[in-house]
Amino acid sequence: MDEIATTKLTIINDLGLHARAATLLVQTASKYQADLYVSKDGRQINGKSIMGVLLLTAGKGTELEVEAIGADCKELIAAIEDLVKNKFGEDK
Amino acid sequence: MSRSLRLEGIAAAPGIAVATARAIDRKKILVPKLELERGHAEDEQARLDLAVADARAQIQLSIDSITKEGGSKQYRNHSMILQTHLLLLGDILLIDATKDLIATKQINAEWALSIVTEDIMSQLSSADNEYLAERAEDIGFVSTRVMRNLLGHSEELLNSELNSDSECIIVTIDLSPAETAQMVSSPILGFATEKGTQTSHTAIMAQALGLPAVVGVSGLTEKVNPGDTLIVDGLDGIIIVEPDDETLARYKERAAQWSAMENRLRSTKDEPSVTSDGVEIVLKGNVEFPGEAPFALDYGAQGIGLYRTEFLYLDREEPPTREEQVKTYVSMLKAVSPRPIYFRTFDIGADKMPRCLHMTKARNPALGMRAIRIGLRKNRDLLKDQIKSIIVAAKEAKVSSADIMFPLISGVKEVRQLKAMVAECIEELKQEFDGFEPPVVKIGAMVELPAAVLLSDIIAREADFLSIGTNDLIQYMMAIDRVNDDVAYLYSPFHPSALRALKIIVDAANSAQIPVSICGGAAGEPLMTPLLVGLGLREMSMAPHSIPFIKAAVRTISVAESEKLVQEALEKSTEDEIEQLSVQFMQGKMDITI
Repeated sequence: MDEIATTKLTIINDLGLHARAATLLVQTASKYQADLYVSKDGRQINGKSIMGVLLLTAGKGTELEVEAIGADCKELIAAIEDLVKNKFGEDK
Repeated sequence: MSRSLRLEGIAAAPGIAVATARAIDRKKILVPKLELERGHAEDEQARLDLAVADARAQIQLSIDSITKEGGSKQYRNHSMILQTHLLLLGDILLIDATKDLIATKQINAEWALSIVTEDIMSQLSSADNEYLAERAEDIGFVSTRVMRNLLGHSEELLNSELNSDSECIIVTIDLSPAETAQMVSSPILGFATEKGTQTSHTAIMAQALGLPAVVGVSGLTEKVNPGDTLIVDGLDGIIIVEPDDETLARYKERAAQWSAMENRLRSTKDEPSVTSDGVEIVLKGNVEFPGEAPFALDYGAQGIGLYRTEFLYLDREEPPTREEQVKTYVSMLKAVSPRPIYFRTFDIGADKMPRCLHMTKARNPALGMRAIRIGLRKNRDLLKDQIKSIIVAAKEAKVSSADIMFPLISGVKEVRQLKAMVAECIEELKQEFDGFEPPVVKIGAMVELPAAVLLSDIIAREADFLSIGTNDLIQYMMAIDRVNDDVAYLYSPFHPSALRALKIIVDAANSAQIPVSICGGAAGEPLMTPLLVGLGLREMSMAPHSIPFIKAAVRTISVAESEKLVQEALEKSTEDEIEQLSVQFMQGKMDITI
């Protein structure tokens, strides 16, 4: 049975999950073995698909449920939390 | 075996063309659609993999060259966009979904890719989020790159397709003004597009070039393959794909009849445009490029009543410099001199949105930042540069006056602001060039908003001339989007409201004793000619190819009977009745059978 880690996150950067942020998220997720699923309002997408992340249309203030499944799922969740918290390195 | 196919659309520019279909579209390449024979899905998937790998290498090459350029923020951002493109190339929703579709539907890679791309793009476009709608472009970009690799095309696809040596008919979804601009010099015999209406850009261009066009043909690009023989019947609005011999012969005969009639009309070039009771009606041409001016004169134009300057701004990263504008305007003025040119300042922002202005597309652009609104509120320098260029060009070409007309005037306040801007430009030119003596500058107001119609008496007191743009006027009066085929049925210059609006404007100009002309599509419609003459218009500007027709109409009617016709028409309550009235009036007068 695969390990599962979950978390809830709020997007706080001004631009939301725009192309650059989405790219960083997918690039980060792709470094881990675990699968990543992100849901908004009950709609779930694959967190390793840039198109999926873009189609979430997650603007600033959006709440997301994040689920990672696989051996390094905890590390993956921590990395995603870091990204979101640091506003994807968005220039102020 | 013939697979002859007849498609109906909107007749946008008259004439008949028979030639080979050539597909062009930056956004949507004509996609070959093939059903696979059993057991070939894996080959198709492998072909897709190869095309994706090539695309990846191409994008990586761009990233590398940018990285070499240095680490400025601008470069970093650009590189990030390309990184996004790389991710899109590996995306399961795009590539894996395409592979699945190849297998499940047993179709070729190009077809599958186009279905998946369209699906994603429509989801993004409908996301009600401007940012994402823009991202649809990224996906389109990536998908197009893969598509070109699949088809074995290089990056220069567009240019090479636009400029070919063999005669062809352009088949596409829709043409952008920039694309049409590039086509002037290639041997194109006609146009067929899936979108568009009689007053859309493609139609206007085709009319200007004297090429037959049929627009608004639904399903066109699905049904035509590149290389098919096509008949474009721009008289009846019909496209025939791969005609049989009999049809082909019939149409060739019709094409010959048409060109014979056109030649006969064209031979009236040097005959005066005078009514049977001796009143001169000045006929001018509408043009967009300096290259069109000789055509217009050849058709008998007595000047240019509408010079659309937008093309200078389209499809480029930076707006045109003043030097570039002056050069273009001087060559235009010299080509037409001593006949006058009405320069219309850039009318961009509605269906023509240049990249160089970095404006976001509004949800309802026809009602948004458009034309003089950009110049008065958003980018004064852009409009001032154009005004200065026109003035300098008029000076250089030694013409008697610089005639500048401003589009989308809504009231006299804007006329005053624009006059002040022109004065400011002249002052600045005097400071810039020692001893600069400006030519006479005449300021024209385009009446194309219902508000301006109602205020035309006030506007006429402060403008040097009025010009009626009937296309926009009817669009705004009837609340119809010109690029929406579904509401095109409401567009009619015979509409009683249009007739009344014209009367208000012409009466206002006449009592202020300033010139008034009309430059919309209505001016090129022979059945409108007696109505326009009867309303008091003495100057009309139209697509050059229409001039011989209108001249023939003018020469058969008298002002006296036209005035009577207008009296009657103003009593009628629907556009059908007015059109019918005009048909009866013209019957037996013109022996033109189309």
